[in-house]
Amino acid sequence: MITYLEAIRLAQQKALATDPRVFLYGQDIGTFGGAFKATKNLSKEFPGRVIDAPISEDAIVGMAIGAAIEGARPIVEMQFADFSTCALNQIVNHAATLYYRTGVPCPIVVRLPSGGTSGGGPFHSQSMEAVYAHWPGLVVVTPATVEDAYSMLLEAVTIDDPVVFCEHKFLYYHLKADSLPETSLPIGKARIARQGRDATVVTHGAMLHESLAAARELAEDGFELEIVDLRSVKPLDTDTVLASVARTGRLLCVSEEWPWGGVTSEVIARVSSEGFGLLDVAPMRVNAKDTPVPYHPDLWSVHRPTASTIAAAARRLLQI
Amino acid sequence: MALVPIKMPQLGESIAEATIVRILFTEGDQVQADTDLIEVETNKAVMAVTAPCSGTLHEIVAEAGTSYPVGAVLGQIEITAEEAKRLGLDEPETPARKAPKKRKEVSSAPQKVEPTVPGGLPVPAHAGGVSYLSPRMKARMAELGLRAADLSSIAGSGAGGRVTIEDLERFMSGIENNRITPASPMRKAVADAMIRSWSRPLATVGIPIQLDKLLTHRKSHPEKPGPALYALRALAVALGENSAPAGRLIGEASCTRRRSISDSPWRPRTECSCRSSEMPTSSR
Amino acid sequence: MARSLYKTRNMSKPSEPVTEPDYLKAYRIMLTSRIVEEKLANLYRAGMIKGGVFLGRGQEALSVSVGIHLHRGDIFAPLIRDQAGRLAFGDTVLDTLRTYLGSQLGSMRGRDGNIHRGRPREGYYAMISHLGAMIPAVAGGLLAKRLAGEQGFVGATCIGDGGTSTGAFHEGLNAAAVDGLPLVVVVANNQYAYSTPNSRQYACADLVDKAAGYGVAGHKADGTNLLDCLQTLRKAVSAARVGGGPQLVVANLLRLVGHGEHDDFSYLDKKLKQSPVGSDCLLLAEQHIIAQGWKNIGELAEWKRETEDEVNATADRVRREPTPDPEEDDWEALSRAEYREQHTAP
Repeated sequence: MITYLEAIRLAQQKALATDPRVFLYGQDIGTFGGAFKATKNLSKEFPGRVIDAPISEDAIVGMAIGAAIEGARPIVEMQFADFSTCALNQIVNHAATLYYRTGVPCPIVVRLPSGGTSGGGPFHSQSMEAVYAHWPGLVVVTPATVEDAYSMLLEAVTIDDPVVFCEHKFLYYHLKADSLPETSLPIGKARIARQGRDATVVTHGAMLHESLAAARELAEDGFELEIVDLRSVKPLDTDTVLASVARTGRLLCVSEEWPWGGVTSEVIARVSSEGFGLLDVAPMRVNAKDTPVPYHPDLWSVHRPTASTIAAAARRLLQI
Repeated sequence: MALVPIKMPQLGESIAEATIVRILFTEGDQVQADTDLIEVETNKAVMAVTAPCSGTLHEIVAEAGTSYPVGAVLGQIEITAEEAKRLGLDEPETPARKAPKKRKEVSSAPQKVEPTVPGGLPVPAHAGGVSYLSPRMKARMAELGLRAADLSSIAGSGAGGRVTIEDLERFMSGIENNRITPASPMRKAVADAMIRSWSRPLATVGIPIQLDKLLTHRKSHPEKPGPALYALRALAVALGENSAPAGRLIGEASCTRRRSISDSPWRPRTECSCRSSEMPTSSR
Repeated sequence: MARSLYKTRNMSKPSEPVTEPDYLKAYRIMLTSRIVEEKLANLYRAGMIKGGVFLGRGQEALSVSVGIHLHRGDIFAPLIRDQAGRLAFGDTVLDTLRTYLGSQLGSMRGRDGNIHRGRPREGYYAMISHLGAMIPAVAGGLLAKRLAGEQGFVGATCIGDGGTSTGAFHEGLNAAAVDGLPLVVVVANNQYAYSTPNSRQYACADLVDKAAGYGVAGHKADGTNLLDCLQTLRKAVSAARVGGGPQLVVANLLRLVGHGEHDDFSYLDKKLKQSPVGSDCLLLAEQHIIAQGWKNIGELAEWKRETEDEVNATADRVRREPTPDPEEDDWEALSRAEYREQHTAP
């Protein structure tokens, strides 16, 4: 059985093995193998190419950008997505603008361990995908399965443009798969994780699994939810979403992010503008509560959407 | 006995309101003109509202901790007749000096500072109910050439009896069990006319009238106006006297003309010597 | 990674002395830089340049000394007052004017302007506005070259006294020091960061003292003296090239213009202007050339005229060139079409 985390480790291993331009840079990723062990043993296997960085997120991403200009393909690890804001300037103002301004692409991958786990608290739980998606010049991906964690990281390394790779910490050890895929959907294509005819649920990341659980609950009452796993938040596969809403007429967007300006806002904006005539009911969304992520597990478990809150929202949507 | 209001003064150029901090006297106290009566706080400073005149503090309606706008009445001072005379308050009432008469309104709670946005626009936004058509419904109905009236035979399973898209699709597929042939142009025209006819009255009332006078008048005219013209004129005059029958039901409101039809000058479409003065006035 | 391989700070190998041709070449570039910038100032005041104009008058000696010691294969990330350094590294009067005048043929194609220009593939990095950000970028470029097995290369970037206060400066220099990268950071201490004097910018006695803090070599130079600048940069760049790790060069001089051409520098402390640090390095260099007997006043005047003619002719040519056409721009921020959004507001 391969965990989601192991899939990420294996993808980096494969990238290092097959492309000499790849190197890894981040805090504690060398001998220690990374805070989450995402780079375990890699510094031994690829000496000199898995490099420990000081606590300098700005410099970590800045160095990746310079290295990319000189032809390397760096994968840098932010220890937590929450700390990537220290590197925000390099990501959004340097990496994201390099191609537009100079015509020279910036092939860096910035890995962000994202999302909440019980007890993580405000600074070890954030989801940053919407923040980075806002700036032009970035690709932002949110793998929700073991297979996608593997294939999308490998694909990210081949992309000439900067990729923000939002891997979900909650899924690191919770998700397991039997094997790794040979082929997969490309980045930019969403996946219908569950077919249904009564309502479309658009989601990404760990919320995919909460949504699937909610769907199972509703199936007992005869409602079939169709669940769309976005896989990449930018580019966002609007066509798949619209096709699904065309089938069901009802849209529920679910995300672990905060409501304002999150991925749910963007999906609803697009469906409302481009698929207005597909909607039989006003679109609905479920997000985390609009507060910093609380520390106490009892508070945290209510702060984020869960299978039951998603199911309740879906029921409301279906009853209108 | 006259009452002089204590008003919130303008306590600074940009100040619009102030909060009551402390009330320094109680009702019944004698106060001198220019004494500090009420301590107030603005954005910039703590200041005092002074007595506009000497007299007895009749009532204070302001409450500590509450904000009042500039000009709000915070209380009243009762003054003696001499004081009133001195201040010129005993002159015959002019609209500007109705202060004593307005006592009741004034002593009720003075206007408090309201937040500028009263909690949103009063636009109803229900998305349910029999008459609600979702965007998808409208799009599909446009595709199928259906009108809202066509949905009346469909039972809605949505909120408040709303016809959902599923209900419509089920209904349409149900229709397919019937024999379906394209409607001929004549059939469509007749249906169209029938639908339009729904906007016209469907009840008929018959009242016999004597046409003798009318026919006599008509004979005397070189143009020989048709009886219909007389009827039309009679209708116009009648509606001018009572325009309610010319009303319309729009949604759930009935609309009637404000202006009388007979206010409009009579303008025959063709040259005609039927002037109103020569026409018989309305009868019966 | 063994630190000792990369941290040999005290390099005893002496650099070669600055010769007359070196000096004259540097002077000529300074002169061109000064003339181009005067042209830019005139064009700005005539309303022909959109956006900001930031000049490096007074800083040419230091800047040219950096650029002149770098060659193909090196990395250079100049900052806003490095017109002289840019010309020394290979930038042209033509592209300078094209970028400022918004010609479609400029290296940035109108998508960025003035001092943000660069040609990254040629090692000429295009700065972003956030000060300090180029330090880790150059360091990363050097790391990539090292990983690719290249040798003998160096990276340099310039920054002002104000820029040394940023987190990015700190993080970048520290990270470069930890990996012993051949990075030369040149601090042009021109006494002002916009209107902020040094007394409000840092509390240490001398910015070069930071070198010890980061574990790197430090060098001081008199920014008004071309010879001193050439000698110091030669030494620093050579030291980096042979494995001496990062080199921090700090030169004192005075900004002789406002922060931008929109600023009148009314806050300048007049005493500074009258003190030695307020000297004009170009005038001092001319005096040195004449004193050494290398050229006479007439020959220098001739150089000036030639350069002015060249600059004016180039400006006239550029003004006839087309500006970017919004209809023709592809308006794409990603290089790979398959990852571009298909559905966004038109």
